[in-house]
Amino acid sequence: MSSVLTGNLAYLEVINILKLLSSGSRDGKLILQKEDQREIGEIYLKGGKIVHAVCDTYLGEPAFNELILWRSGKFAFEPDATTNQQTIDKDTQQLLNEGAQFYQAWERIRHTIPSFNIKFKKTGQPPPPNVKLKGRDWEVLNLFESGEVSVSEAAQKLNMRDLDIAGIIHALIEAGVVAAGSLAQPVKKETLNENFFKNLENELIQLMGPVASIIIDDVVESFGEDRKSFPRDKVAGLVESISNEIYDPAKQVTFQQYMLKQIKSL
Amino acid sequence: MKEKLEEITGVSGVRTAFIYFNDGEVVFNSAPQGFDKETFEEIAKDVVQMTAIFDRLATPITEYDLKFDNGRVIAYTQHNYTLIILCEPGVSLAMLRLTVNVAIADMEADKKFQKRVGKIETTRRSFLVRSNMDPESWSLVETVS
Repeated sequence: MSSVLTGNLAYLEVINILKLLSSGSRDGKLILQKEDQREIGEIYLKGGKIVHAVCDTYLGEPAFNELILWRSGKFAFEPDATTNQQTIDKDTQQLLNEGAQFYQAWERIRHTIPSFNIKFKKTGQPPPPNVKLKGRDWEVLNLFESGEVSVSEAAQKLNMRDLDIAGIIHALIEAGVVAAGSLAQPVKKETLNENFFKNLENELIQLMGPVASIIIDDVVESFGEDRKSFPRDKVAGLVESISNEIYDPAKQVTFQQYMLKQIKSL
Repeated sequence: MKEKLEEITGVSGVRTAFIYFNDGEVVFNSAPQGFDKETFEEIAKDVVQMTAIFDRLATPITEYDLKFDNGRVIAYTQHNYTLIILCEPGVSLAMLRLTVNVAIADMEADKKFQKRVGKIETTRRSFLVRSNMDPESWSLVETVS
């Protein structure tokens, strides 16, 4: 089945795509694809009502809440795609409103906690009298007794989602009981140099011709990045995404072989 | 073949990688603690059986990513062998897939490997034998047959 609406998540937020599809009383499936990890999520609509969402091992609202935070990658809407599953019963308008609030909350958290790997520590201050910590808050706070902890580490220890932990740590920071740790300054990410892109482009031109440059720019853009500041830790995802644009399997392997050597020499 | 497995185990987050030929041979480079040939065989047979079930459903699967609390089993099924990789939960999938694609292409271009694979007559279908399966799996096979 062909898609009628496709695009780049760097330019259009998932919540706004859903608002558009819902107001048009659409039937179909919105497919979201994260560029770097090839993660895929799906949200089904029936007559404009959101009925089912799936992402990784999450279903229903947890999957929906995960997917609306995706900020880079691709989306495609397949009209008339249907499902027998109904994992979301909530009124769609309410779901979208709550989703928008959730997204805004994440935007706020993102500024305090720009990475799930940054460590935090206990300040030693008691929570102010007007702040009442709940059970989960205490569980997270207790983790800091043994030293500095990152969101990812806390999520793993408590078997919770990174995002939920980030929300709790954000609240603890606002309450003054947790603060950025000694290693809190995010390390400046290493980026790919000009030479890497030059080699990449030369190789791709040999396999695909002059369209190579456009393909590279499109893929880089779909990661929400540009050539000058493309993070080195996303290089494998970048090469994989570009190689997916090569339809001849033999040429695809030739490209991957060459680029794998380039990656290893970085 | 072993050097290709070594390249795969060189990817950050990969614990080990091995090849299971449908005739029962297991080829691995180095086994992490707690794993032996029998464990590899057991994992591989489960994957091959699953693949055979999907073959019957006419929805062939070529790549598996089975997530567990403390790790992942990623498997690439080929016609008469399966490449199985045991990894940390946070392994770089993009880097792994690139390395695996190149490794499989290199192995399949190798005449010695082609000869080895060409000798295999055991099909995936033959793994769906009642005596080799637990009752639940067998009931699943009967349902899809």
